[in-house]
Amino acid sequence: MSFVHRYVSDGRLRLTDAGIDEDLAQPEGESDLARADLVFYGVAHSRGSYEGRVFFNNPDAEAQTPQDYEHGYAGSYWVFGHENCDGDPGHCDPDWGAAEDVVDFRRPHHLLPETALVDVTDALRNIAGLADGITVTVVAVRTPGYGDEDRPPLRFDHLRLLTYG
Amino acid sequence: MPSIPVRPIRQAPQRLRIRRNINLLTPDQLAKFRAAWKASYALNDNRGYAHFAGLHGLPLPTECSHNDTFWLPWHRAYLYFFEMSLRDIDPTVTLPWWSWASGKLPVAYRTTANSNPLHHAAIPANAQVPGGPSQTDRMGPRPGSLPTQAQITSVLKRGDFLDFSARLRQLHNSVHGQIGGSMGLIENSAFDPIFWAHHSYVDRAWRLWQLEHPSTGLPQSVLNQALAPFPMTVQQTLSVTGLGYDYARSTLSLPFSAQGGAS
Repeated sequence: MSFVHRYVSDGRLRLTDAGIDEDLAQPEGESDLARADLVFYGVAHSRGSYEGRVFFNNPDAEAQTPQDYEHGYAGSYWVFGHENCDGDPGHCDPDWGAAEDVVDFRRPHHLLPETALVDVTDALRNIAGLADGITVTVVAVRTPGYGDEDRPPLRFDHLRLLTYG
Repeated sequence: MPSIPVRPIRQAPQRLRIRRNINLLTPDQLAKFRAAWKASYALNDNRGYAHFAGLHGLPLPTECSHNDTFWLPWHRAYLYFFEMSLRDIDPTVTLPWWSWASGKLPVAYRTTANSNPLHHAAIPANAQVPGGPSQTDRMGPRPGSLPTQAQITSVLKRGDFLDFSARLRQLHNSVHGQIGGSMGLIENSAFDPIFWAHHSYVDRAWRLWQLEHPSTGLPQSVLNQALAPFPMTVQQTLSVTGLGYDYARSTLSLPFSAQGGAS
């Protein structure tokens, strides 16, 4: 059983001086790229476990795409999820926008979104033609189990490419 | 000069209990471990296996924490209290750890011989997911899919706790996913006996990281937080020796022999 849900970026992640992420440009005098992380913020884990396979510049990637540099494979993140809501209505609806309340001593909601990161250092070094930016494709492949295939698991708030010199 | 009186020892000093590599247990250690596990299955109250396994997901409430700040302390407390329940059954038993870098599930958990209690466990009706089974099952891992030693070593080198925690959690998540079946669901994963060896390895990794990074740790603001439902704070989880245990590859105890020391 393999359920796939895809996300394709619009190529806004850029590594050039002309790109919108100017801070990603290599500062003068600093060494070459030492490490790069692709960080997914606000990852939902309420819909079952899956592997999020990340491909660079391969918007047609799917579950059967080989996981190698030739096909743009950059790495994976894994979500260990809750397949179902086991409570009454509302039990699994975290207040995503709540401000922190210093006198609220209850534990955070168990479905508050997570952060996931993928080390894409090697993949980034293998990419040519950065001037056009990077298209990021995420293919979610569900963990084999008892998942509801009508509920796509792939949801996150935004992603960010962080590079370190 | 008067001699200094020797005070009688009223209680033998507490020895650290050691968690060992599952693949290096002696036959006797493994037999005792399996017997304690089986006895835990037979306890249907809050001392038994189903009680502890159910704390992770189902039946509600779901107690486990999987955010980067709390998941290591919470699971350390979780393992501690389950291990203590096993030691109530047999005080020589500890939770063994399973190295992902071995590349496959340990034989001790794979074999079906002799009704191996580590192969699978029953899932009570109130903990079963819709369409799910009444006993745990596994669908992997595929050869070559588990984290490698190089990946683990890379994570252990991270200097910041939250960075280390987040990356270790990703490797941990991948193991849950690669095994699949019950292990792939938060609701049921702790019912699979391999869960505990998997998390013992996670806990060992944190211990190894702490030894290399003794001056860094969790944010001060969370140290006094309780790790419900356990009567333990985050601060209390920071020292495994303070909790009475540590990790080793293996142990072998030999009795004293009057004819030449240890034999």
